[in-house]
Amino acid sequence: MGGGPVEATSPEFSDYCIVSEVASVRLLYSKSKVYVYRSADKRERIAGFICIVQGPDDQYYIAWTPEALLSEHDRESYVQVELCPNFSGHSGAPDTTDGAQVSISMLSDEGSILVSTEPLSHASSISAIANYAFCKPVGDVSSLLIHPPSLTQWYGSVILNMADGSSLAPMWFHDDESASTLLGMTRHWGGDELLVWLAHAVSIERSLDDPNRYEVRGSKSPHIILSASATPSASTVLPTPQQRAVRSEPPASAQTADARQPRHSTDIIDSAMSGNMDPLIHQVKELRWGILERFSRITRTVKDAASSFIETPVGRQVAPYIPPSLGGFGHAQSAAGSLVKEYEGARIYLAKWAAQHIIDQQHEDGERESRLAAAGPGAASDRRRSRDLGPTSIWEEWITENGDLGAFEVITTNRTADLPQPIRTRPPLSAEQWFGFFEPADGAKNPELRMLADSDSVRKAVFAGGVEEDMRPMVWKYLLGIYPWGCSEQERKDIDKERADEYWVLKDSWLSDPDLKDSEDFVEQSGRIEKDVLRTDRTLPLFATDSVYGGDDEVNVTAHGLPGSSACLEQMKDILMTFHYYDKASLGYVQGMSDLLAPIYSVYQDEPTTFWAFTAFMKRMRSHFLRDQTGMQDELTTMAHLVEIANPQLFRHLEACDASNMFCCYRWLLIWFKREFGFENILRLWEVLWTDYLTDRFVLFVALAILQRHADVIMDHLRSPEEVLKYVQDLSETIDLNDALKGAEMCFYKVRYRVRVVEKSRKERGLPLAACSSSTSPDLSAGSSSNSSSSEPGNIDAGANANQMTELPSSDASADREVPLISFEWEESHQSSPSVVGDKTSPALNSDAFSADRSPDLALSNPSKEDGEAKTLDAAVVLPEISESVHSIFARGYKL
Amino acid sequence: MYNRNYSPRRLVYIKAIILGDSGVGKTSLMHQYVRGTFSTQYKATIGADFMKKDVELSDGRVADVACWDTAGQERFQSLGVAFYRGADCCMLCFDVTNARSFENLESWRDEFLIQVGPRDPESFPFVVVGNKIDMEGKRVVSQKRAMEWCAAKGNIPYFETSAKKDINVEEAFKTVVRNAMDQESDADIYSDFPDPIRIDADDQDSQACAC
Repeated sequence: MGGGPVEATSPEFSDYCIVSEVASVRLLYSKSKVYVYRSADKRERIAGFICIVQGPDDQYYIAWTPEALLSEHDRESYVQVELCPNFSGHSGAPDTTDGAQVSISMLSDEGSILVSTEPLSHASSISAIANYAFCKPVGDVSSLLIHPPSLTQWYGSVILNMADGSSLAPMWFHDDESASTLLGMTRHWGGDELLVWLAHAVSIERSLDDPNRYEVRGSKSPHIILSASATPSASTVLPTPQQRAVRSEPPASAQTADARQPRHSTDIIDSAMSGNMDPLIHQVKELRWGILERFSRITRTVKDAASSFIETPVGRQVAPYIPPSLGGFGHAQSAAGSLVKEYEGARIYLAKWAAQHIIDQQHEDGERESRLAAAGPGAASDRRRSRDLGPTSIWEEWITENGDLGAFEVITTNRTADLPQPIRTRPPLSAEQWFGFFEPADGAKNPELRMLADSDSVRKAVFAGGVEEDMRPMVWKYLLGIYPWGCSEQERKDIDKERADEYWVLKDSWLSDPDLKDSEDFVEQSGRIEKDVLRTDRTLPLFATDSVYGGDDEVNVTAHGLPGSSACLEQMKDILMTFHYYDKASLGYVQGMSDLLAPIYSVYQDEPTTFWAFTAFMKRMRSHFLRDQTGMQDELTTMAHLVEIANPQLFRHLEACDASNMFCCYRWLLIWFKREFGFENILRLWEVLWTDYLTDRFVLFVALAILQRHADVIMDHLRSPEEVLKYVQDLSETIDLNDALKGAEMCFYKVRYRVRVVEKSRKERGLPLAACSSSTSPDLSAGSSSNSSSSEPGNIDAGANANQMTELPSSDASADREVPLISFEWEESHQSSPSVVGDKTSPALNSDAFSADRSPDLALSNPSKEDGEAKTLDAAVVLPEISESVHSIFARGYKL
Repeated sequence: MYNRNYSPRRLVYIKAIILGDSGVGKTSLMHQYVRGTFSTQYKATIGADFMKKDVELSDGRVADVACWDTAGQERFQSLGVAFYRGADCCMLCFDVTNARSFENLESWRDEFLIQVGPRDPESFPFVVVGNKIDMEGKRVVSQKRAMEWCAAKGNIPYFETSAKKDINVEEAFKTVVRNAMDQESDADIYSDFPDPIRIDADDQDSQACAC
């Protein structure tokens, strides 16, 4: 434990009750970034300070105040107290410390005071938030419900139950944003700290019935309890044995409340200190704050540290990272045999925490990008540099950091190879640009208002930047194929009219059929559609309950078990019901479709247009919803193949985790990331995907790019299919869309390059081009695991290949470990195939020695360039197979 | 450390699968059980998700329970095997206000047994949960009818629950978890750590849950 032991000065009571003005209270303890959630929506979370104050009446109060309500001065006081809660004990003159005093206006309303500070300019917007502020006498708290952070809940919460039977809104301790935690002033979960502090003002006992419940057993005398020696400082919350001894056997000279009431306070403190937060989480938090940098940087060093952390028996391995006092604690737990499971949790915890760095990185990359964009074309050289630091560097790390050899790594690109730049850097398509597509180059007229630009350039523009919001209704009709690219104004009008008429006929056919409405299918599907629509994107204002069809959600839930409806939702229901009967012969309505409909509806908000746009979208999505799930199987199989090509190490890790069936990506792919991004980003993502610009399966590359971003974390921390699934699904709403799209584009180029090299070589050796795709098919059949793919020829051969190489005489020590890479000049931009060159760039590899000593054996350094054409891989290199599905992605014509 | 003052024992992993028609409240039951919360804002489950909870039974046994919440439409059943693999117990849910969801229990159960293929299907630990009893006025499946079905299927324990009002949720989960743990042989659990009897071994289940 860092920090010194508590200074045992014992100030007089008078130190604490000096109150300079009536409206001032003494702030004794405060913790920042304690949130009240107004709804499940992350934007509806209100950050505030939880604090314990001493009022002018000497009573102790517990208060929560939103940050937004604090004046600058008060906020400083809160932060100061947060960082040094027992400073008054040290200062010796606490009454002169301004920071301890905050102004609070007393509203003597049934004994509670509402914190309201200096006048606020935007009072109306604040008033809603102010409702959550409270300030209650500590004695009015009857019990606390405490849920410490756990595997399933990243943040822990505290609920105060009041003596009058009411409960206050849960307070969520976001310690990772809180100053005292970030600055290392405290190493303990905020909820535990609060409990410890409260335990000095009131007696608290843990409930026998409910371990999360702490009963308040009445006030202690306020005077002595809050003396400095009894207040927990950051360094004492987890007691050392000595401190523990001090607590239970206080020296006679220390006239503390502990001495008078040693049992309750000691018990509760010990409990809060050691029991409340899961010991595992506790240790991990220790790790987190203690060796933050070492774990958070996705670097080689960290990888080594982190993987050794996992690969050896967990309990022992963590010990070196744990401060001595905790180390003993860990061993004790190990001996108790209960740690194993907790370390499984630790892996997800560590993984998530490491992922936080990735999230930050995404934003940094994005910001750099926008700064460069703002700087204009003159910043090209900066842009160049930024590329080296940005996603590309990650790319290269995948390759150069890989220590052992995978099937595809033998054909990895040159480290400095000039990959195509991602074009996804442009602003969204504007109206001006759009209408530019309709303007003849020669200034002639275009009386029929046909689009004159070729569809590829339109699709490229949308791919590169998306579409401005106002233009979506029009552009989407083209992207979805409702309008043919070259149609005239009149044709568009006709299409709209015909489609609308047709829709109303379709809708009428089920709406006015009394027999149908009694059918089992109708009852079942209308019930399903209603349930699904009423729980789709309800947090958006567009889909909020209205007064006509809805009313109060609470009332509705009580009466029908479902929230209320709205005019929009009723339209959505009708659209889906119409779709169900329109498409009944093959699919009908399937769960997930309401998620696919909502974004389209939000753009059109008109029944017929939405219906046809949705129907067009469903044409490409239908395979996902097939009864036998073959469509999703194909997606997941292809996904697995792509991961194997793009990142063989990751793929092998997923295999080892029994997660190579890629079920972790199921939700991502089934509904095109609908649950992973915010609504606005979904509109952007989908319009990009609809362009089919590089491939009509670009969504797979988006998934691939996200996995790539997190590959190190996954490999370092996750070890079971459950962990992988949890981790991947919990990435929801943390992914930076632009980063993912850029990464996807680069993944596409990279994989295409590798596939082409292999296929070309296979062709020249007379091998079949595509392998049977069943070899790595995710297994949906009972009993068999996904191990089948590990026996794929490519992997075995790669292993043999690696062995062969390591048997060669090595000229330097690192050669044993470093795998010779065969690199290719990137010549994609010239539309030629790649050529083979010896690797001259891998710094760890002595390439001269390599070519001199080994090339005769491996026959690698024979890059005859007679025709400038691509070289194929040498015969010594065993070629992996390219599955049919992957082959076909790249087999079609492509543009660049 | 709380809960760990008595003799150490090996932690048992339990994988519990929650099945039933869409909209019967599977996600709500899971959240109520694991987090003690209820929301009207749950979305339809896509694929599967799970949450974990430590459970301590009245006899002191401790389980690490992973509750798997699955998509409710039968269309997605073929995915089941991927998620059901290694299941130790299964909660079959229906909505007491929806007769159809009750009638479908049979096929949920059969399909589950086919996909999991337990050694002894007859004794596989199931529990049946009739949810939404807070909507008493809309009930269409009587307790009697549900219990008869459960009796006919080898005396499956039956609970009437309200995920919204937190009625019987804990009890239902705890029962199926306990039954799953009973299936593990005693030798399996206790061979390494002879277990002294806890003084509070006669506590009710409701007092024994650790979270």
